[in-house]
Amino acid sequence: MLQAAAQVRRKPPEDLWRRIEVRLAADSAGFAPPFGAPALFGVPAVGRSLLALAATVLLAVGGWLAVRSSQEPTDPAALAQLDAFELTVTSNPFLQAEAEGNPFFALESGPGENPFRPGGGRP
Amino acid sequence: MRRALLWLSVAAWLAGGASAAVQSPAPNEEARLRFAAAQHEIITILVREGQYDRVVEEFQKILALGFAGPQEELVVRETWAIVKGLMEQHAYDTAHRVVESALQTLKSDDSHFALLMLRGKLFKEQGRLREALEAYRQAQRLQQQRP
Repeated sequence: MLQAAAQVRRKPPEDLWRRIEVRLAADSAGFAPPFGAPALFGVPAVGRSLLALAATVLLAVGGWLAVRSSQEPTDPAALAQLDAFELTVTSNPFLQAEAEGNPFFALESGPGENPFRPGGGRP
Repeated sequence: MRRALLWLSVAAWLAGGASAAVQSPAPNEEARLRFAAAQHEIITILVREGQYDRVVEEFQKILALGFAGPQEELVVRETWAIVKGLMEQHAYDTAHRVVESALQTLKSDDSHFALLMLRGKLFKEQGRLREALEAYRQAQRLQQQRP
């Protein structure tokens, strides 16, 4: 009886082999690597090329940022001088000039008065 | 808003009158200054009201008055006043156009120095440090070339 059981194990039924072949064929069709490249580490070849492309892009962007930051102007003295430079601006530069050139225009005529009347709108 | 528009109309009317005086065969200095002063008020209102597209156009009317010699300083100060107002409103494109117009019209090295420094400050305000330093260096070169 034991020998009969062993005989059965050595020769599995034909339908079992067929099912195994069908499964294998389905698996190989689902993960067929392009250009005959084999799939490694369970990652399909298409996925690997996408990963490689993404890594390359990341490296390129990183490199560009590094170069750019190294070339970023660092001249704090010049920037401070730029900050410090100010031109005094009166409320209306042209009224100020008018006032200086004409004694009848009040120097302190401000924006609250009518600047278009002689004397800056003063009575 | 309605009040600002009213003021704008009054200023435009006055500017129109002064403009006629400026376009006369013998424009006197006072009329020119009054026209420029009226333009200043118009531009101030336009900036306050956010009508930035009209600012450059109105500013160019001041440039067209042809202030020259020592009077260029008035236009430089006016440019600074306008640009500072525009910077407060973050209207950087218009501010750059105002500076560029002034640079193209004004002649003296002093004017160009002050305008280039203004351009540098404008770029710095925007965080464009490279352009800010370039403008600063242009201004410095101009100053070094002076006798």
